[in-house]
Amino acid sequence: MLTKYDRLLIYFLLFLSFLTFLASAYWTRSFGKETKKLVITDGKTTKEYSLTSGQKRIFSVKGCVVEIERAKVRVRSSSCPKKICVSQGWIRSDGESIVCLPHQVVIKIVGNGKETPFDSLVR
Amino acid sequence: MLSLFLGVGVVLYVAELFYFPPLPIPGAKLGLANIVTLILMGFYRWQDALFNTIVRTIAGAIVTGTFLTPPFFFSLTGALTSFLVMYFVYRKFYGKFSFVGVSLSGSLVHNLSQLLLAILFIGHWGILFQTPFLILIAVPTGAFNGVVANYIIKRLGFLSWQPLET
Repeated sequence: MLTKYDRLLIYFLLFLSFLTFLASAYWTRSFGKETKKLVITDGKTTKEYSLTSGQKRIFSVKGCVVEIERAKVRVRSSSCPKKICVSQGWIRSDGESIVCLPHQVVIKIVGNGKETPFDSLVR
Repeated sequence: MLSLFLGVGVVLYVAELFYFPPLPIPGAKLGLANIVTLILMGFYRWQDALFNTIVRTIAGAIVTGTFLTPPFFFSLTGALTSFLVMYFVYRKFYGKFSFVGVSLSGSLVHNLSQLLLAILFIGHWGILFQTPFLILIAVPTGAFNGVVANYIIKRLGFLSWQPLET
């Protein structure tokens, strides 16, 4: 039923699959090391922070107390009336942002320049 | 006779979609309808097989309600590229390869071309992660179709059909 070359083709394909699997595994390792930045604007000045370091940092920008911990950010407390920025909680992915209007503070996570135009794709 | 094969193809295409449990990898399926293409390639002219492939894809899409939606284009490109490669392999290497080999190369190209289209479509290289699994799934599905086509062509061989004048 199967000729010799059929068998060879099957073995070749299995090998190819294994090879590409190794290649993709190797390729994935470079993922997650991409540089994520945190950009905080307080109306006039813009500052950039690194998000990759695991250190927990708390500092205040105008009235907002910003907390950075393991690649995620939140506004810990704020002196604004409605505390919308606080109730937004942690943000962590590219393009997410916290805005505190009364203090004119914008906290945004910026990836390496690229943002996919889709939120999600369903087929 | 050709229209009979067309009917068989469409029915296989739809029946497979409805009655077989989906394979564990998204986008992978058995491709039973490909058996029809293989048989036609063995018994008729290449135009007949190609025509059957295209019309089967369109008719199958109309039946399943995916006509002119992204899955339809995926399935059409996959069908066309795999047809080209299968015909090439059949013409040049039949004898060395049986229909199993023809079907295997076809299913491999089918999967890979759809992958490339998906990259164009979504615009992200991350889909390449699926490559090893798609190649892996191409082996059993392609081999199964090839074995079935081998058997059918052996059984139908005594009919010694002539290529039909359309």
